[in-house]
Amino acid sequence: MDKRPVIMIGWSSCLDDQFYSHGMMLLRAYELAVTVNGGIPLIPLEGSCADGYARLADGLILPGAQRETVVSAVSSQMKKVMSNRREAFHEDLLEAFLKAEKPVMGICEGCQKINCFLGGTLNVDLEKTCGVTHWNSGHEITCEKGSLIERLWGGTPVVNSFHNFAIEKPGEGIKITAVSPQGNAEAFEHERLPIYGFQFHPERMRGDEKLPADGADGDVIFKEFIRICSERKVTAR
Amino acid sequence: MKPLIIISPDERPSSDGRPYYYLKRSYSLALTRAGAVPVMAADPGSYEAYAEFADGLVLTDGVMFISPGRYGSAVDPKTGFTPFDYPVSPARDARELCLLKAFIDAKKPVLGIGRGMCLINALFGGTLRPSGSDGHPENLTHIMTADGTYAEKLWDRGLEGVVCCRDSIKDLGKGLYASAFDGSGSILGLGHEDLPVIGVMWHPEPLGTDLIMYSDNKEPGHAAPASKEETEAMRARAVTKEPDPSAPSDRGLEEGPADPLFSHFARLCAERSLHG
Repeated sequence: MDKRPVIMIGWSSCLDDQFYSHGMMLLRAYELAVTVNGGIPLIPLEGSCADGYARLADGLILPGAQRETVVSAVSSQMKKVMSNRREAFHEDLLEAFLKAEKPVMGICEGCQKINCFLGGTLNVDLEKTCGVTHWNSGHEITCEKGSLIERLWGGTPVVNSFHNFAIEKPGEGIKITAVSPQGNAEAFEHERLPIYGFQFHPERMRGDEKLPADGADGDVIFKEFIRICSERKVTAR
Repeated sequence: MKPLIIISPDERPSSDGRPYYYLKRSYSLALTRAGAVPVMAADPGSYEAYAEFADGLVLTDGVMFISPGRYGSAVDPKTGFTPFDYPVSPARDARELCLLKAFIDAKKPVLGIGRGMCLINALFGGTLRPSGSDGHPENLTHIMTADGTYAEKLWDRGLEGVVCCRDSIKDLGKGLYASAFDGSGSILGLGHEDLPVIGVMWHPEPLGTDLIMYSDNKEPGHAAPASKEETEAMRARAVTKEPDPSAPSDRGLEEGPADPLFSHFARLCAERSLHG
């Protein structure tokens, strides 16, 4: 029997080029990071099955949004349907996993999603308010002493940036544990529950195409999250 | 308890070149409607684990054909290549054959659709005929069931189905039998004599649900630029990630009717389920 914890990873919306059908996609970088660091990656598909997923899995990762469409011109209505469906799906997953008190980790948009789910808000014009773009750039962050991220990466690790939005008001129970030089939230953890959020992309801070090259080691984050999932895995599947 | 069923996705490069898995929603809807819990397979390093804890496997169709190396007969003897300009994915073939083998070894139920049925045939040593332009390019086809098979039980004499796959079965693999044919005698369905393994060349998933998204907007044309008011409303919603109420809803699609094949497959999986 395989003893590794099962880690569910949410999908992004995707439009198929050949059949114009609406589908689900997941960048392999996420599942590879889970595999390399000791988890069994599995991708949940339907919101109506969220309780079943939360029973089966030992943890959940909400990935960043990859609005992938190979069709260059998608109607605005279609975009709305795709985005609404992903939002609703991730809410179903969060509700089920939080109820089951299973570990949850949000990356980039997934981190923002958790914040909003817990009643927080977003700054939707980051570039204007902080004066610099947080797109495809590496920068230092300052981590709070004693927090999970500080224990793993020390006080001032370098991370990547691929976001236009950022957390503004933290949701209930959310404690910001790292900030960018402009002061926007880069990481959080929950006061009571095993819930973690990272505004940067640890799945792109590892392996062959590490971004940025001088950045901290993304594997450390995945390894620790998977360790937490293992530890909390109380009942055998 | 509902059976947990793994679906194998397609694999593609994203616009910035990074590989991703892709799955049409109609497959997961079909399984949900049949009372199963669908999940998508990820890394090959976990295939044996999947075969341990999941109750069944669905191998899907896709835009990539099976590479000719898997079948001697599919290669043109003159050129050594496929006779038609097929996009092939040897990586997907290898990945799915490995996943399929894990489920076969565990004696767990498997359903292959289109390309998936061809792979089942390949694993058991069967051969393929690339029928190309004279195949079934997205045709509504009359399918006749074979006497005494599960297909006859499900559909009696026959059914209408959409066949997209342009490959067809030449010789069946060891232990496999034909469960359905088209008018010209091509094999459109299979089963296994001892194992809970079935395959169909048509599409039993609710294809209409993939296209329903276009009901308000048939042509995927360029979107008109949003007005100032619309842009402001979008921003206001983004702050708390509110859904856009003006978008057509796709909620409730999972309540639709189950296809008899998926119901049959979900039953096969539930009967053997570890989760029961």
